[in-house]
Amino acid sequence: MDTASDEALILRIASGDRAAMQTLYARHHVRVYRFLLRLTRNATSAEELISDVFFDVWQQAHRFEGRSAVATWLLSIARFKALSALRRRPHAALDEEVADAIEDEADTPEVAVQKADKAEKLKACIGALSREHREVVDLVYYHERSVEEAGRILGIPENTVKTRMFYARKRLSELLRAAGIDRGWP
Amino acid sequence: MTNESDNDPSRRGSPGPVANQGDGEPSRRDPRRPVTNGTPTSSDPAPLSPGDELHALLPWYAAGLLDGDERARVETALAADPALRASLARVEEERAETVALNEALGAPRVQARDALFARIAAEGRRPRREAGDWLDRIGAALAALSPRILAVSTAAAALAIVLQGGLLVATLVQEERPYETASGPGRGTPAEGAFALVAFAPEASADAVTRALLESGASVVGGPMPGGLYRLRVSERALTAAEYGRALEALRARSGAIRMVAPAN
Repeated sequence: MDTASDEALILRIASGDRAAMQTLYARHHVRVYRFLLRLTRNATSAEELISDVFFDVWQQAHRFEGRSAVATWLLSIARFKALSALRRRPHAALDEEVADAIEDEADTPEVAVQKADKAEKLKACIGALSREHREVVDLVYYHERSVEEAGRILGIPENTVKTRMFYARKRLSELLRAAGIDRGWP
Repeated sequence: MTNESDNDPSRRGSPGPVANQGDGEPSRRDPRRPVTNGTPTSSDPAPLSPGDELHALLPWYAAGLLDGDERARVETALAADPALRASLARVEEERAETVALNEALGAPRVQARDALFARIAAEGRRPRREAGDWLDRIGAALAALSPRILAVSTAAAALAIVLQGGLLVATLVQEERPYETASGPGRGTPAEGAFALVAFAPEASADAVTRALLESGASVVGGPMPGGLYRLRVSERALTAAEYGRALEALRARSGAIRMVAPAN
């Protein structure tokens, strides 16, 4: 197994090393795919886009400036691809997506244990957040990006990252209260 | 699906530039509105109150992503504030469920990987154009502009051209002067006397030219100028029109050496 750093892999990819490309793909494709899937809510689109993301890495590796982690760069490219794809989608599809979001996610089967019920509802409400809120929640909680890195990926100032995350959590709290779980706030 | 703009992080080599500070009003974004990329949006509510700032840091604290100063600030506050500790517990719950939700999404099929490497094998790599990168960026920047911005920019450019044209005409009109010959007074040319422009005959020898000048009392004071013209002083004092006419005729009489004579100021 190739233990080279991501940055070293990018350098090798820039020189045309396909083995390095395979290693980088193996290392990051699942997380990038999940980020794409959470943004697009469409597995087929996410699979198409992941090919685009890594093909761009193959083509543009020489441009990588090392000012951020490779994972942050990948997520930035992925977000750009996902938003571009969403722009191309018909408006009706977007409306429908938003309208169905809560119901679809809330259809999780009831479980007997109260704790599990709460966890499922929490998960459902996380899934029901707006695109802007769920991407910042994912970037921090799942992708473990710092304030600065999340700002780079989202293209917003660090203070805005903090406020967006804060209000994403507030919205989550409101959704949970509507689902019968009052956790308090903040 | 690779029709990208200047915001494409892969082409910039780094994730997005950080945009200007500032948050908009708290409101739900219209999902039909084009998705913005790189700027705070209207769904970003007002800045946090000082009391909320620590709460806002908790997600990063829980993930171990705060630097020393902020981490220490949060830890100090946690020790003293039960409400903050309760908030941290909620953050931990959210974090666990977000991770669980993402883990449940699975992975792309192996066909996605095969498609990628087949594409790499088929298309290879675009030749690098380091020197042309700036062209790429200008092109991409233009491509990224909305039709409305492009229309406004075009109108502004057209207006600028009209204004420049107007200024140019105004300048020319303002600076319009009576006709001057090419031999008009210039730096390094004697201002006193009477002058003429001549073109020497191509076949004339240096002796012939020298003799013609001596015999006509003229001397070369300028040139060669465009067209092979030379400026001659035909008199060291101002001449009457009749005298000036005769002086020019004297030059024209040296046709073997001078092929053209014209008046000059």
